[in-house]
Amino acid sequence: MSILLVAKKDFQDAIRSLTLVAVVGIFTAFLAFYTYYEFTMTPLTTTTAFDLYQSTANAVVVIGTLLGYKSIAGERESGSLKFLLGAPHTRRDVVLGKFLGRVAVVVVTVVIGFVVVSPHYVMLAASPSVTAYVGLIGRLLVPGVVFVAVALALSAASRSTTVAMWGAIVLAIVFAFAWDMVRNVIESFMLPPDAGIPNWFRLITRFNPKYFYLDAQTLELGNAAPFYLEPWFGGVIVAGWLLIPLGLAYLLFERSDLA
Amino acid sequence: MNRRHLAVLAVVIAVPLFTIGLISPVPDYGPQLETSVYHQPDGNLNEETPTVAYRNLSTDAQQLFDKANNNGPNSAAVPIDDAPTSWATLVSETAETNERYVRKNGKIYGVYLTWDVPAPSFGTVMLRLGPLLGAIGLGTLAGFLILEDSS
Repeated sequence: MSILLVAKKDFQDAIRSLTLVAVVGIFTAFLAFYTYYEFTMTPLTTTTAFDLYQSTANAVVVIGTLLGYKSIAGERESGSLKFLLGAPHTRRDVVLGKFLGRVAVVVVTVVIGFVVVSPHYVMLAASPSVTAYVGLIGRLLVPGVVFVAVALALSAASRSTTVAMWGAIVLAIVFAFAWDMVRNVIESFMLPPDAGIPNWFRLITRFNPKYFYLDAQTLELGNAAPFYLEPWFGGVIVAGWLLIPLGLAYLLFERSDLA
Repeated sequence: MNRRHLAVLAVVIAVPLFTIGLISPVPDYGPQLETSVYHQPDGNLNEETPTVAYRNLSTDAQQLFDKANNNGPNSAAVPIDDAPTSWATLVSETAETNERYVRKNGKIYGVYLTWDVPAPSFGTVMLRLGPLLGAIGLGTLAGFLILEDSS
């Protein structure tokens, strides 16, 4: 119950500080522009809702990270953390409550953005699909939630918001942009051109929470795929990305001095 | 006028803007055959280079040739579906350019065929995207005003 109280307070703080409105506005404008771009300026291929995933996932990663990095470090720096822990909340409640509060902001942002842009999508897509559109929203929420957890761990580990901010920026750059560049370099220059992509390389790709869904079915590999490319392993990867940062955040925060 | 009234005003402007953005026509960005015609001075061509007599071109091809030749930039573009079949089939998304030589009135012209997808103009893009982004901006402003008013 205490966790939900902290989460509710955190979500209300986001509304009061106008963070939620600003993030929703920026995300929706980006999504409207990107939907227009994908569906009208790349006319040579048939565009589907899922073609919106790549860049939108990068935006969601950045949003999740930016929302998470200040969650604990910000309150510690302003001194309000002492008041929060003065109420009957344990440190575990604060970590989980903060996590749920920030996740709620990510979910509301993504859902409002997609709902506002949905008529735009229906008008532009050759064959609009509600299932594909809703599936895209669900898939996008995963990296958003994961990066809230990762940024929260950084926030719990840092004594200042500056350190947490730089850590969050580096993380967002690595997972939203650099990972794809390194992957492309390895694929282009280090893998034999005619040998096909090895499964270990697919696993490395899949370790990025943005690509958790890349399983044997999506990649059309048939039944010969190893266990780590089966759909359920995507759940293991996401669970790892959630539990390890949240566990670390709790341990670091539990042992840290508030002063 | 208090903040709540301003928020209502922002929403009242945002709704028709959003609708205008949605119903604005989506321009057709279909591929085109761009034809450029240049006079080839004598001696520039190898004798074995195949040329086609102007009179042997189809009527469509003759019209496109003349249009390009008479245009200021010496080029003309038509949608690939409306282009002369004999020329349209020479280019594609993967083979974007081709070259032919046409003989007319004793002169030889190089005809450069290019498969091209025109980039939409800024005005065309903003006709649809401008009202949409404006509506989203006004909606965000309304949200700010309402939250500031209630706090």
